[in-house]
Amino acid sequence: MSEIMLVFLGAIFVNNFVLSRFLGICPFIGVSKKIRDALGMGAAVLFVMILATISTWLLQEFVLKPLEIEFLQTIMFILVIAALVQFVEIMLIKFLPALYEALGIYLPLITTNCAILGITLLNLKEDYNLLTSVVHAVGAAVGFTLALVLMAGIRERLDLADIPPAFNGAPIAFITAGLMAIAFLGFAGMM
Amino acid sequence: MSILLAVISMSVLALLLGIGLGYAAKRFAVPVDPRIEEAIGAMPGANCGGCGFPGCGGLVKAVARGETKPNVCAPGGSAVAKRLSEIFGLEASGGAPKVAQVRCRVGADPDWEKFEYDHELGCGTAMLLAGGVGTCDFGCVGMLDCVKACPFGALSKSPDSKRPPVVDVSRCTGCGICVETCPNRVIALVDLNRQPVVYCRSILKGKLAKGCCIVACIACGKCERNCPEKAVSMQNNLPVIDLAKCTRCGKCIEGCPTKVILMFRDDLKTPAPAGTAPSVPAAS
Repeated sequence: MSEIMLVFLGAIFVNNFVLSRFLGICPFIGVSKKIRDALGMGAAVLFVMILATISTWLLQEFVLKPLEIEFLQTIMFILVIAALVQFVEIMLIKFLPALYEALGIYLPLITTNCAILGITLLNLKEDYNLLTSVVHAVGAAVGFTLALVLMAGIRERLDLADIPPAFNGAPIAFITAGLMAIAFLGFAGMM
Repeated sequence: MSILLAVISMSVLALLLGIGLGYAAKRFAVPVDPRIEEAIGAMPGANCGGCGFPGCGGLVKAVARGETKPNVCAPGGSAVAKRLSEIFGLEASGGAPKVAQVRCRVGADPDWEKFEYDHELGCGTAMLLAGGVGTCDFGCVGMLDCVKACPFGALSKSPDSKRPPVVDVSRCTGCGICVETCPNRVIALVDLNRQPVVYCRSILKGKLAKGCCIVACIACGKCERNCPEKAVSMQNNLPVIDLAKCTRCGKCIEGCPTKVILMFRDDLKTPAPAGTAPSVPAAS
């Protein structure tokens, strides 16, 4: 139990996907202008990460391992995740239009994001069982959302701040991201 | 052996997923109103948001639900309104296209400034300080915020630096972004036809107005008295012209002592008088 808890908290803080592992940087910069959008993106990431983790874990265990073709991991995972998200999207439009509207554009946007592929490959590298893998995925998504929301909060204030023209826009966002990564480095000593 | 297995498993997986997705797309398809797709194709696609809905798609959906009239798309004008009306089976409601007009005759004039000011900062910033730089608190600030805001390049700096920005009517789509940008609300959308327009926003009277600007409306009321149709009324010390009554005779323009009323687009044709062909949208 404590091991699962450790995996969960570790994924949020110590090995934060964005700020420590540097995965999913594009949505981190792209969708962090408003807190609302950041939360929507975070929800979509949570959703897709859980789905991707379960499907790829099963694929690895029951197809790739018995056939001894583990080297196909990357390409097969992308294929399966993309098809699965597409399938879920079709189902959502049909049965849960409200959830589909809420996740909106973010759902297809993150299908092949490196953070999603990253979580599936990391789970296998760490040799987690299915439960631990899912917990790890939830933790990673929460950590991703945390980083995004923190960034969005800062950037909403940056919009109002008096920034030298040379730093305005993306440069100050990158500097902010760097400082946040350094701050999260402080968690590394906790493990 | 291994490579064969890889190719086979990959192909089988892709085939299964493809069949599954194809089946799901057919089996769980949600019927979309074909009129909506057709209507989105008919929109200008600028997604300017001038109609108040999120993009062209948002407007089309609102029209489909009957929440708005099809003639609210300013960039599309009457052509898009007509097309939308056809698609959704609504009564066409054309009306003349709208264009922006700067209702002021003096922009940034160094002779009429309260204090020295850096002109690069823009109108909005300038108006924050002591009611603006110019002596007139109501007119064009002349620091070209509207020129920068116009997404179609329809507004430009006047060749005479003391005049307000000029509108290129052929480029103006009537989206109204400049109207929102102008801190003094000097810019308004007017119908693109021959009509008298009051080029002043000063609510001051007589000497006070004259003391602030060379071409200010002094609220003498001559236009009101001169109008044979009783189409002009003075409100807040400014003439308001009821275009439904106006016959475009030009008597208000002739009488104006400071020349703030001008005929907008003398080259355009006068619209038919009210009653014969309503320019107001028909109730749907």
